[in-house]
Amino acid sequence: MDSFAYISVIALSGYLFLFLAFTAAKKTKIIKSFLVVLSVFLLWTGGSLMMRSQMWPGLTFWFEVSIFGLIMLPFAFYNFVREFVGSEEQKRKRIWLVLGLFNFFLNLMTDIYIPAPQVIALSGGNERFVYHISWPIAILILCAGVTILDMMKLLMINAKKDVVSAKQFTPIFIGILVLFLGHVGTLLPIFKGFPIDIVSGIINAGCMFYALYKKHLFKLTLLVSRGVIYGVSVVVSVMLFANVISPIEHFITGKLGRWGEYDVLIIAFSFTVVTLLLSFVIRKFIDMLFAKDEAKQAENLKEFSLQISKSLHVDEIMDHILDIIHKMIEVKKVYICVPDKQKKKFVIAHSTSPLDSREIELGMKNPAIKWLIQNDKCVLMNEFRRSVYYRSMWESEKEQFQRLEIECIAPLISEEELVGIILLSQKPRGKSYAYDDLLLLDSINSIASIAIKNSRLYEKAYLEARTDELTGLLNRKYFYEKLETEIERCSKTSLALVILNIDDFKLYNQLYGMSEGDYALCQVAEIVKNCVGENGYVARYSGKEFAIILPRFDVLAAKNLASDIAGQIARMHRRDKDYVMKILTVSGGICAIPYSAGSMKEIMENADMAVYHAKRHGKNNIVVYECGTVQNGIQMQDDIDKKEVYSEYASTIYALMAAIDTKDHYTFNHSKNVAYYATELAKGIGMNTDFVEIVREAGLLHDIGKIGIPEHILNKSGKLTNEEYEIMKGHVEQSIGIIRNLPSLNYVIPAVIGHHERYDGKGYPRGIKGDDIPLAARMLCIADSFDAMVSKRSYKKSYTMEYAVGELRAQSGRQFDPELAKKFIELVENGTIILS
Amino acid sequence: MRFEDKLKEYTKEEMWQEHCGFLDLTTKEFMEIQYRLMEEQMQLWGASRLGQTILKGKKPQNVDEFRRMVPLTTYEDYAEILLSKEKHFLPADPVLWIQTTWEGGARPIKVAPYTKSMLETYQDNMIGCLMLSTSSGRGDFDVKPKETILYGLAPLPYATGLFPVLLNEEINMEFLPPVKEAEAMSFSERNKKGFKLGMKKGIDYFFGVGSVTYYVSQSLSSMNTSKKRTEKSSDPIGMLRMWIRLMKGKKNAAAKGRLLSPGDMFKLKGFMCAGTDNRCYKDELEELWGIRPMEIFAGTEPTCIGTEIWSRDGLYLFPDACFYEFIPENEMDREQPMTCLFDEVTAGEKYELVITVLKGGAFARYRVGDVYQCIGLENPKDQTKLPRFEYIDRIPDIIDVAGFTRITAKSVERTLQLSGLMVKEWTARKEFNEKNKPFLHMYVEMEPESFMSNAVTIEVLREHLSIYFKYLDSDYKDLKRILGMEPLEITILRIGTFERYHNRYGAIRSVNPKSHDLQMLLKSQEKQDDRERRAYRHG
Repeated sequence: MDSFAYISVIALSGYLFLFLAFTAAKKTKIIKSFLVVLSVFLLWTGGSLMMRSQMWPGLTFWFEVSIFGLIMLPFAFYNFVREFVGSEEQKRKRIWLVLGLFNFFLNLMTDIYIPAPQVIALSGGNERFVYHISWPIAILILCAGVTILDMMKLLMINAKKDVVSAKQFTPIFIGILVLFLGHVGTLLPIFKGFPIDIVSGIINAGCMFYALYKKHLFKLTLLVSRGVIYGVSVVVSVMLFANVISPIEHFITGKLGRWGEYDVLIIAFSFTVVTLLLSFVIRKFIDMLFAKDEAKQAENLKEFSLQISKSLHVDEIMDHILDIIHKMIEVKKVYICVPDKQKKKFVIAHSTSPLDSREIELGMKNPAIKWLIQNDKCVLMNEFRRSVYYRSMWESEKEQFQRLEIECIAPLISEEELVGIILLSQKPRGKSYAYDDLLLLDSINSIASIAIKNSRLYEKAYLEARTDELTGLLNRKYFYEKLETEIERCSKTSLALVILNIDDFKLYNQLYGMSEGDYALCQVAEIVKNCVGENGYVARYSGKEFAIILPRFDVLAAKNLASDIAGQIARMHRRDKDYVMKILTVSGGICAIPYSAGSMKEIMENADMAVYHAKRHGKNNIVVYECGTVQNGIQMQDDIDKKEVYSEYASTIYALMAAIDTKDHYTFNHSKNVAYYATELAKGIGMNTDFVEIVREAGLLHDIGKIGIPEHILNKSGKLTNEEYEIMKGHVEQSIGIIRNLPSLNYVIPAVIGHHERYDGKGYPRGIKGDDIPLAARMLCIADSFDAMVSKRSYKKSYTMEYAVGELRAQSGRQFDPELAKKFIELVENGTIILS
Repeated sequence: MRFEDKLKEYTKEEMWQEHCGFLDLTTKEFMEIQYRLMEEQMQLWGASRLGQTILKGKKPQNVDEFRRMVPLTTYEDYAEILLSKEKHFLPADPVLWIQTTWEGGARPIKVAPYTKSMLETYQDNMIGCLMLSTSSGRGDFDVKPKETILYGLAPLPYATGLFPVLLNEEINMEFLPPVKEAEAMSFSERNKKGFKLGMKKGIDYFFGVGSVTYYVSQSLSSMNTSKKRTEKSSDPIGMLRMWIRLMKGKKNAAAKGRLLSPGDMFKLKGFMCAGTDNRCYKDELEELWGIRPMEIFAGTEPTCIGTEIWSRDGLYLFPDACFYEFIPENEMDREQPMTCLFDEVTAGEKYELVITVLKGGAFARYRVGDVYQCIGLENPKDQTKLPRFEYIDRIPDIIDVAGFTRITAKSVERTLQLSGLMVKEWTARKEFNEKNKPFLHMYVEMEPESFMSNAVTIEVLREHLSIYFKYLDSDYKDLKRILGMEPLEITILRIGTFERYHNRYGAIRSVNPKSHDLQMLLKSQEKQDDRERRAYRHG
């Protein structure tokens, strides 16, 4: 072996390394063609090395192997270039293949181009390989030259067609040039004895490798596996030791004295050490060159994956995403946009610095969003600008991106839904985004999507467990938890609890239906939530009750807030011009720690008691609980107001009365009488003026539904048929139908709707009984029946007062409330009630 | 990044996608872009004072409402605001104002504001046109910097002047002659200078109005080489190149056995033409240059809105220049006709184009005055799935001869009035001569007494009318000078012809009467001749 044998060893190792590495890569056509090139390089260099080492089976065999590699090199190269430029050409490929094979076999048979070298022994045990080359080799060179020219033509044509591709071809051009110069170099005296052709081969393979790397045809981390490195180390070691084993053996046996007998052991040990050292050096070298960044990236991604898998909050995941991007990509600013509550636009929720501008808003129809959803991968603004999607961007949308200097957009997609958008600004010093940056962003998206999906499910469940489905407020269970925590937290300051109870909400539901009721509840909840804001917690305490925890609030502040809320609720029906809402009021109770309660149980009970007090005192009122006594905080409307309100309703009632008078004069008089009797009864049992007024109005309106009953039924002298009786019974519902359209009068409905109910539950329309029947309705029932008996009707004569009283007494506890019937009889008998 | 730099940085595929990617759209996708950009425009235009003068307080929330609330408009609706260049009345700040003549309008010119965004779109689409002009198939183009363009269009402030300005921002092209010099030259000087330079440097692209490119091409064929010899001393290398080119051209022509034509001397990469009546010139231009001109459609009000592609088989509209509506032929004569949208057109139907300029443009539901025919809803051969159109002509109310002049009933009336000719009645129509070239044909009936007091011959009438047409319309005078053809033909009808026609058929359109109506008018004259002859014989 000559002194430059190590060059061949290095070349062979390099080719072998690449060959083994690429067998692990994804086998695309271009990779396959590169493997073919490496194979012929291996045959050429390996054959040459083996030949010079005169390995078995002999010089001629290895010479022919080497020559095969050399002759087939132009074809292999042509094939690689053809695949690299994406040419479909087949014909010339076949020609160069056949020509190469022909030349090889011709040489094999005849030695016409280049015969096997002659070995000449030199002094010092060295040998020289002498080639006897004659003129026909020019034919071989010509064939190779033509193939190379054709290959160059292919490259030139494609470079001309596509300026960008031309850049990718540059390393290949350089490689060919170096290879060519290397072979020319062998003819120069300066390189005599130096395998310059093999050096050029190494450089050429490096250039091809670089071209493939720049074309992103493989991932280095995937190529450079531990096995490949060990394999290469072993091969290199074997080749090294094959050459140096004799001198080492001589050295051990000759110089190391008694250690000479362990020569095999020493050599084996040295071989192992050298192999390990080689593998270590190769790995370090590869790491240093390429894989270090990729390994670091993989490590960071692993860590990121671990972090987000532990997190159950979307916000936390977003923060981790920000962190990893900031760590892995050198970028000025990173923003993460998430959908707003209404899901109408994406807004910036996370950014690298709290001082960053967050004014960007991406509407759901923004073409960038459409692009991300459809492609599910990140996109550079430059690329996006070239897409047809960009054509539909609004100027304002373009400006937003320009203002934040956004250069890259990446999606965060979970279950085919875009849950976030990552916006990356320019890189510092005008650097541009690399292919690896984009791969990283796509990896982050893939990893994060699963974590986001899980955390969203968790957050949804968490939210559902803590909030009221209808109003979105805290639910009762969580309210208790929160109250307990806050009382604990505010033990050294103060805390107020407000409970608001919607007045007559059950009736509201009955009158306007459940959906209207739900809508009203949502509206009330919205008002309360907006008024409280960040100052406290709002919960739906029960069906129609809302509780407000106000940490660090004193009584006065809580009272002011509660009255503000109550006022807004009372005015709620005027808010929406397109939607007519009915009036709702609330009764509220307030209690505060430490002023009038010391524990959670106490504060709850006291606030409840205050609500109860408010209800008992005419509703629509805020009451403050203060040390065993309840004090009216704010009476929302005073009695004077009510009187004014009632007088306003009077005209409506008279109008309705006039309507019934024209239809049925009897009913008109009857209504007036019933109003009178019922009013007297209400007064008689000590009801306040408000109640008496309600009873009077209910009496006047209780039969207003008879407007809708045909006159022949109303005035029929004989007995009503079953059918007619059913129609007649409908007047109660019809009365309600008329009154419910007069929101200002709907407080009389409970009395009107129940005036045909019987105390024993056999009445209509609802068949309720006893105290379930509203008090005013029970009074109306007595007044209505009494007047019916003492009046003359078309189908009957009038009965005497005694008869009527007797009937009242007889039906007491059956049709009539016994207490009220008794009181009524008493009032009749003592002359308080006189016949109208 | 400039287009020139992108050529080095990006692949052909990426460049194609950016500028010609719209050709891959389906009609539905095209409409999505239209609707979305229209949403932006509705906000801008609806909020502007210009918009409110037409909307009168109404606020359309979607495109359907917009179409219901905004009537079809003409320049009259904008004239007061636009001609005073009231910037604060507009939907967006204009960067420049483009002007053109106002055919039959109250003022001599019309102006249209161009916003920054409109100009950017114009630029992108113009580059798309440039690429397509060199294309022989999808994804294929060959545009390089420092190529030469022979440019036969008017400079700024006319819309055609935008092309060199916008193009030079993106790629260094050599305009022949250079734009700055061209601005100070007359039309013929520009062409001469352009060709001289072309002979020295070669011509890669040619862009002009169809009729003008035709005229210029013909004049090139008969180029006098003696003049060039006088310049020998100033630019010997240029002269040598010119001589070589000429010799080469002559050799090519001789080989083909015909007279020298521009195609023998130049190998154009791209050939674009705009304007009206291009159909009349395309075949001959192809013969002269060896490459078929690609028609593009651009105008003062609508900007650059459409282009032909590699197959030269119909115009494709750009989705981001304007929102397009189409008035079907049977609706055109109504005062407020119904319109249909881009996805509602039918193959074979003729439509008048109505545009709403996007990106802050001033014009909404504007009747451009051009008639297109939809020639197909998709083209399997070119693998396009968009409706494509063919430019037919201006609307019948306007006579546009070779893209030079626009004559309306009003302008003819004014001409007749100024000329003092005793024309009793008339009708005028665009017709085509035996070489398929357009001209204005006037059919006039003189006052009976005029024959007694004035010299009434076709020549006299033509001279008179030509003078006043030129006086009223500066473009008219270029017609004869540039195209070298007589643009006005006159037929004197026998006295009483119009009256007889009216009695029999009613009124006849004064501009562009239908062929059948014109035949009837001419027949009315023949019948009269017969009757008169009989009366004369019997008398």
